[in-house]
Amino acid sequence: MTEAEIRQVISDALVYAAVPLFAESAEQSDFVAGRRDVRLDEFEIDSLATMELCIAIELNLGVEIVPGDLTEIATLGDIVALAQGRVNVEAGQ
Amino acid sequence: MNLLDLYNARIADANSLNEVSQVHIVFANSLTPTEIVFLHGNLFAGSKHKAPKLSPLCRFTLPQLQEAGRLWIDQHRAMLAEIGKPRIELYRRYELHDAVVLFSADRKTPRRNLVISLTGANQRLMMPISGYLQNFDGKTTDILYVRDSSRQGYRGGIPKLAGDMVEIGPALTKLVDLKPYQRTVTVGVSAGGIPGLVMALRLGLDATLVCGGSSPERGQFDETGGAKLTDRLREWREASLHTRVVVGYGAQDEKDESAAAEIAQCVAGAEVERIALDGVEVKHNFIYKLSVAGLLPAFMSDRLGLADEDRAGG
Repeated sequence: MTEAEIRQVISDALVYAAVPLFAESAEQSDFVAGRRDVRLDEFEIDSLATMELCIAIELNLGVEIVPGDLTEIATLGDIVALAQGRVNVEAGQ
Repeated sequence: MNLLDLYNARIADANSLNEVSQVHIVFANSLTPTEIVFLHGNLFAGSKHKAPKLSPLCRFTLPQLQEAGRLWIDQHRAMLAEIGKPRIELYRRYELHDAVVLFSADRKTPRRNLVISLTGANQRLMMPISGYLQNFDGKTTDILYVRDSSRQGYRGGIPKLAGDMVEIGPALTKLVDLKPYQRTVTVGVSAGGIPGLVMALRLGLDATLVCGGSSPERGQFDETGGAKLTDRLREWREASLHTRVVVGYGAQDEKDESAAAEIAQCVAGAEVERIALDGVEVKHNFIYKLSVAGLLPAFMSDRLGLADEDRAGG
């Protein structure tokens, strides 16, 4: 699983949850390409949308991240790194 | 099946805490305020709730489930308390269609007002449905909850109900008789803003509130090779000048401010309202901010005319 694929999963989840900042395709593609990181306090992501993001990560990446894991997270890039780390552990890398 | 048994049955299929979250999301999108209060008093508390049987494959413990369940229900109960009303609003749920639910104290005797409420693409009204309902008066007001079930911003309408956005309103009138209501209005949040506006103008309803709606200039509802939405809005407005149109946006959301101005350019007489709160950043989701501040019941009642006794044609 590449970093770009993980970013795509997260981007798709945020679009699914209708997070306003991810309504524009340019913002989605910049994030997926790694050209842009986003601070979590930049956009309005409520508790239910956070749950939906965690569910999407588990369904698509096969690793479990729960909302409580995100309390100390500052940016979407941090979530990507957290997911990448857990994917690598699952894969025994 | 009572609510606790239903909860246990759903949890029995969950293998991870995220699958528990899925159960909580489904509940958050359907439970009434009274059901939230009931669960708050009984979910993993007291003698009524016997602990659910967990799946043999599940990767969480009962204490972890209890902690997640209590956190979830405590948050919902706190949300109701923040609204600041002395009583819990009495609503019951009547499912009329996959994407349409009527919340009413008693369906057989419609209240005075009907508020047709269209969600955004996330299928929520910017807060859990129990919180939204608690902001209205169950004695006078029924809520028709309309979900964007395809999550496409109502492009293509609503599956199995209406083939395009413009036809959603007429299709709803086949599910709910509007005649008994003295006042019928729409509230559309986010992607539901434009569809709510169109519905109100096309059906000649009393009022509409657009909350953080998208711009009609985006073209998402223009007919291929045909009429532009902006032109159609002007035509519909000509035929429905009595409809009060309020377009609200959060004071710190420049994109929504622009969209509100563009809506107003197509709808003569539309009232554009900047929502600001002292010391609070108000962006796209301004109705939740108003709800937390205890200001949403009066805001809704005033902008939609829900407390008016003297109604045109009533």
